[in-house]
Amino acid sequence: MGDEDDLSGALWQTPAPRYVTTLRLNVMLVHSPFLAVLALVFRAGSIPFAFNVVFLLASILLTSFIWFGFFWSSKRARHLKYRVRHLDINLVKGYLFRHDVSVSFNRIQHIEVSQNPIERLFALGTLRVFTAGTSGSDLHVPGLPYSVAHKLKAEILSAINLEEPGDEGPVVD
Amino acid sequence: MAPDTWHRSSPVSIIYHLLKGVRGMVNLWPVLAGIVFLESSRDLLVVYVVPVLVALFILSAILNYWFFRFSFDEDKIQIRSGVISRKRLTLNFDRVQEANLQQSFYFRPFDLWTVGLESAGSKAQEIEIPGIHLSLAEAIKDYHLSQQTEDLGVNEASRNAQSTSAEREDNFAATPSTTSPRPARISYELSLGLAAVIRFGLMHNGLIYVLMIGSALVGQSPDMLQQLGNFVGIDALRESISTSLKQSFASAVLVTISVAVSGMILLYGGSIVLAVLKYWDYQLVVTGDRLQYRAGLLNKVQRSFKHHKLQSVEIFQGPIARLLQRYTMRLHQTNEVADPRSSGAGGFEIPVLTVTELNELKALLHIDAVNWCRASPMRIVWRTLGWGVPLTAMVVVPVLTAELPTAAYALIPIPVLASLFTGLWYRSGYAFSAHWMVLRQGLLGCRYTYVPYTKVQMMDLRQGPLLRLHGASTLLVWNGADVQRFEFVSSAVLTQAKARIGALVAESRARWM
Repeated sequence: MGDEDDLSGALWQTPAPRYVTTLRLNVMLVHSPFLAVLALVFRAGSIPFAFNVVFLLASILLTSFIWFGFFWSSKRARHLKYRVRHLDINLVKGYLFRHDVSVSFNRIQHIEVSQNPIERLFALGTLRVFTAGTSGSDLHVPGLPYSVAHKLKAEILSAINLEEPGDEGPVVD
Repeated sequence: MAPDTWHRSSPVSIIYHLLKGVRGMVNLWPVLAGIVFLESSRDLLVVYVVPVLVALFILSAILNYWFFRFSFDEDKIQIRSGVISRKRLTLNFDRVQEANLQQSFYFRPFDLWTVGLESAGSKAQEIEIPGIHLSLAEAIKDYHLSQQTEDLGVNEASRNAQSTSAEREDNFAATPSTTSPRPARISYELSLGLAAVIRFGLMHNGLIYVLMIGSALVGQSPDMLQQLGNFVGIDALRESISTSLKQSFASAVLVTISVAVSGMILLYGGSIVLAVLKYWDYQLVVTGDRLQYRAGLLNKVQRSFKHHKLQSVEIFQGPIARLLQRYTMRLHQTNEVADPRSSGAGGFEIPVLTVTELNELKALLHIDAVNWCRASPMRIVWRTLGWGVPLTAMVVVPVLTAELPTAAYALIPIPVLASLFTGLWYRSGYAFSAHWMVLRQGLLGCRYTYVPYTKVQMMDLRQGPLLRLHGASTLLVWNGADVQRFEFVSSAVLTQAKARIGALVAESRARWM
């Protein structure tokens, strides 16, 4: 999967190295409320129910935090790559569950670059490509430097606009 | 026509708004069923809630009729509606996919029609203008048709002129097109007689599901069960069977079989009646790239479908259809399922087809012959284990608790599931032909799904650890109407197919929506 040998000459690109940091921060944000509640329960001293249950929950939460924060984040970032060719865009992602996604430019409905607060902190953005397919038929390329995301968007739009006039193409904004 | 000439529907359309309100309540059926079957609140419901609800429905329908206005010119149609939250919708005719006419039974004495406009786009919807005269309905439809012809003139100047002129035609006498300069060339016609419609009623019995849900609900209320038993004369029936049993075992069996057969006749008779109501006098006409049908006994429906909007073709054959050697075909277009209540939901249906008719239509849609392949047989093993192990674990507990002489019962789910999944694997298949990708699914019946390569929106080749172990992958293919899954197929085959389809789509300049 994710064929490296491409006759078009387009190379697979990787996300910015700081993408892994944003993933870790996301993991921390998801886990922190649960960890805080458990810490408060321990600090209170009088545990209202069986100690074993709390201990088990804490173990699961810590294991999940360590797994996702340290192992999964780096693997996910390392296995994410994208390629923009002259007629389509491809994305390969996933370590255990691999995905190789392709969208042709002539099927794109619209494109946008989004940025959440964590991405803004690291000057990263996500390129979102929407098609006219049913639910789930959108391609997201996360972890791009914000300027690169905009450059890619401009490149794709320019490629679409270069298509022959009279095509039954989509309206792209 | 001046753009700001606002029209009002006929007052008869109050019935339309009333029925629409009732139809909206169908979504709340679990709550309603709960209340109805709750014995303690039933009296309160009948005395107070029902009359208030009926009054509210009527008031709401009158207000909806009063506030519903529409205006149109050659480019667009505008609709003002809503009582509390007012809505003003502007729809350009060039974004309209289809304009369909429908005549409900309550409109027929007044010769009124409903125009349904299906819009294109990622959030497709259908708007309906109820209770207008045929001349006005035709005028709206003609504006839509002339806009399409204009678009075709710009976009398809180099294309087949014959098909372009055909698109301007409206072949049915019920709604003669004012834009057609000459008669349409009919390339295919299909009429369904009463026998074919009866077959449809036998093939697609939705009443079975209604009966199952109804039985489950009635079973929750002993009082309701008793009343229903009295209504069907269950005591007399029970007495008749026990009397017969006293006489002879054979007569008891005869009575039981008679009762079962009567039930089946009622069930299938009801289904046939519904089929006749829906597909009475079904006539399909193909002119150029436009397929059009009209049907209906009480509610006359007229729908059309243009070939270039086709996203996928489904062909069904349930167990009864298999016995009757008949098929049902459904054509799907972009985002038609966005509003499941719209008349366009569920696709453009050709209800009953013989093998010959099916092959004729397949040829008309340019569906290639395919060489079927099967998924990896390892899929049987993993599906059996995936379902069988948890089920076995669930069976082990009661077996051990009941202290049965043998624990072998616990292993029953494994062979049963293995047989089931082997059958499913054997009857399922996939194919990548010259222009179409095809999936075949089913055990007792069969469902074929055909997707033209050029309608593909996105492809995702997936591989988890289990699939990697067997060198297999799953390919998900999205088109404008649905998503197809080619599961547990060799990675090499799917990678090659994905590359080939991707190249075809990227190079394609054909109309796809």
